[in-house]
Amino acid sequence: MMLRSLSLKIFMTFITALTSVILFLFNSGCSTRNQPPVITEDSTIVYLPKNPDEISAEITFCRRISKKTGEPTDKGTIFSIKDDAKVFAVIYLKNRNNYFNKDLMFHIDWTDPEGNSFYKKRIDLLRNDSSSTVISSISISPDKRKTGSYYLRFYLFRELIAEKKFLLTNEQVDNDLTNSKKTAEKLNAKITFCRKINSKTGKLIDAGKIFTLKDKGSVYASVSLTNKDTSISQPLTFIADWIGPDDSSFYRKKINITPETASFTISGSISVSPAKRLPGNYKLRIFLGDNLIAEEGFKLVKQEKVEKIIPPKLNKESVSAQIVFCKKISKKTGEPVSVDSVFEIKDKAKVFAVISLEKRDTTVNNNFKLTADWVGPNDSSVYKKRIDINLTDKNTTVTSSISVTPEKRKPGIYFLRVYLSKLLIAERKFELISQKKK
Amino acid sequence: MLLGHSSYFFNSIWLHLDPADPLLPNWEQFLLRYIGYICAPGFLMMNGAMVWWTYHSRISKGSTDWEARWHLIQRGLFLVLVQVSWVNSSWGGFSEFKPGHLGIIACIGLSMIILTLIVRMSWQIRLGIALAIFSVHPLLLKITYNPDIMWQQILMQTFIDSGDFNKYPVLPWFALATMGSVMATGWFELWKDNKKRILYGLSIGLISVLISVLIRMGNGYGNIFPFSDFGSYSFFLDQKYPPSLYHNLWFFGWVAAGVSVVIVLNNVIPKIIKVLGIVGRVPLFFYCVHLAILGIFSKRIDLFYRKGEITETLIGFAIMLVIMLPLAKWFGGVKQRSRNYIIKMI
Repeated sequence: MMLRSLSLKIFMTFITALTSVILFLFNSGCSTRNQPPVITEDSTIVYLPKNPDEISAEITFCRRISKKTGEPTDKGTIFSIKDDAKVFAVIYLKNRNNYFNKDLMFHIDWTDPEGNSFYKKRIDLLRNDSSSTVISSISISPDKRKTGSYYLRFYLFRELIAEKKFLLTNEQVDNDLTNSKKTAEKLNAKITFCRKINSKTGKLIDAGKIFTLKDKGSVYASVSLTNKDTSISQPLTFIADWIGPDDSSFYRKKINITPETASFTISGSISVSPAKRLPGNYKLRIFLGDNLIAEEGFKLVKQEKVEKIIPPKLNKESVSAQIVFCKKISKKTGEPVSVDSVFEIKDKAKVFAVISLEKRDTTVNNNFKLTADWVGPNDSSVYKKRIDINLTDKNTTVTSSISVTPEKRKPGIYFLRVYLSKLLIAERKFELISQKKK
Repeated sequence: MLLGHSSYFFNSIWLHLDPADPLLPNWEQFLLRYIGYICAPGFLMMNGAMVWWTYHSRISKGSTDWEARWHLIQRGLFLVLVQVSWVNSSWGGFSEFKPGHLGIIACIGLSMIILTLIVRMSWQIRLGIALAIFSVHPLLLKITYNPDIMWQQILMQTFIDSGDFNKYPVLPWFALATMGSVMATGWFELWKDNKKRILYGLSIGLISVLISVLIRMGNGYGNIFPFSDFGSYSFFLDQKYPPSLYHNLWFFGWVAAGVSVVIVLNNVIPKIIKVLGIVGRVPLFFYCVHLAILGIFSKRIDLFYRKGEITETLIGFAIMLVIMLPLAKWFGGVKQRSRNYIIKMI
């Protein structure tokens, strides 16, 4: 019984100690790198150190290393397999300076498309070695390599700190890819978003960058492309990549086109029904092959949050109008001259109306059509004048006039009716009388 | 062992993992690989303990000295034969007969044979021999040889270095087996009760671990690979093929301490030991059969061969346990009942 109790104590002590050691190792030191890795601009997958002062690495692939400068030339991630060709990996070490007093053990591991390691190299940087660049190369002759995705993995003290992929292709594919890159450089692209594209005229309807989510709604993108060099006439394959608010692609579409003119347009659309999309910032990226040639963003918003721009309803109280009749309007002051309501019919005579509009409803800011309707004694319109006015200011004045010669007018009671968007806002009468005999 | 082998067959890391120079992408893969590191030291130490116990048991039952030794020599030779005839070929699912190299089972067999020469010696002398080999082995590794010259390769890689012919050179592993025989003297003879076995076993184990840490921190003699910091991958992953002095002492310590834990477990939760005992009764059968099943189904039929990662490895391990435990239990019964020479050997 005593032995059992003692055994249990020892066992528990041992297990506690062992667990503590394991936890200590995994928390404090075992892995010195952060997971998941980050992807740098040059596509190196970097496992950053937990301590930012520790060494990290970036990988650059190239066809050659300049003998003069020692710098990589013909950089890239796509290489064609050919006789006597090589791929060099240049690995730049960050924070190397912090480790001058320590030997460093690195490994470079090249793996083939099946994931098999085909060349591994250990590189020790000794404490008096100030190198901050590590270089390794492999032959890419056809007898040694096949097409596909290869990886280079870079380890510091057996721990993966960076990796990068490159593609080996046969020469034809490489040429196509190179051509694709050159073609992409020759194109100017501009993306415009809209609600609809008129199928007959191609005109963009409701163009903008903010769209509401609604059932059966769509957002169209029209991409205007212009050749800087008119020599592009081969078939081109574009990829429209629609990116959601989470920054991930939700729809990719291939668009094949053979441009016949220097300028051409491609288009695409997505549904923006609430069932399919969330509100947020979206992007469209247009690629030619692997080359990004245009990128533009737009916003999807919920329907209820959109402020509906409904013009305020116009009524008689919205705007008031005063009509003044006169024989003429001073050219200097613009003021009515010889204001009256009875006018004589005579040669070359006119009746002017000065219509003063006063905005009472401040929400009224729209453009309106004002109609001045001159109505004769038989209640028929003798002349209508339509004027576009914008009621941004509180007071607006417009003028209209009719000729009152004997040939055109008869004596009697006339009216001037003023309409604002078909709403009668003012009416005033005046009288025309026969010419007094001299 | 089974976990390590499940990883070897199902884990895609083995497409590019070189066991002699391991590079690891994350701590999960590190752990999976490192767990297997304790197997070989465990096998060799248990083998050494078993040799000591069997010899003395046979002597006490009336066998002559030569009879007791001859039994062990036959068993050692049988293990070498199993290695070259079965084990080597089972890795590839028997698609090829590959008798041309040695491995862990042959190393155990050869260690067993050599151990018969010193099994009667006192534990102090055996301890001295083992420690002397541990100490001298790093110097022997400096012997230069040309692995392309067959006799040099066979000689060096059978006893001292690791390579294509043999990953498990006899000399350092024999030293571990000898350490196992020394511990067996304590477990079965000197320490009369479990309390002593547990305390002495734990103490010796932890002292050995401590010495190994000191050797590692020294980063000089007894180390093969450099390391960055205490507790990093590289700290633990010193060379296993062939084992460094640090590796030998580190794992001797953990195995010795582990035996104490097993003794405790046997007192506290005896059922667990019963389950372990199913495999412990027929270790060679378990090793040979599970490797053959994995080799045939995974490698040869290409069933998830190196297509998965951690999860797939663990699933494979669980499936293999479900297959192997009943088989081991069944064969344990057969072996107990049988008087067949070969079956008794397995």
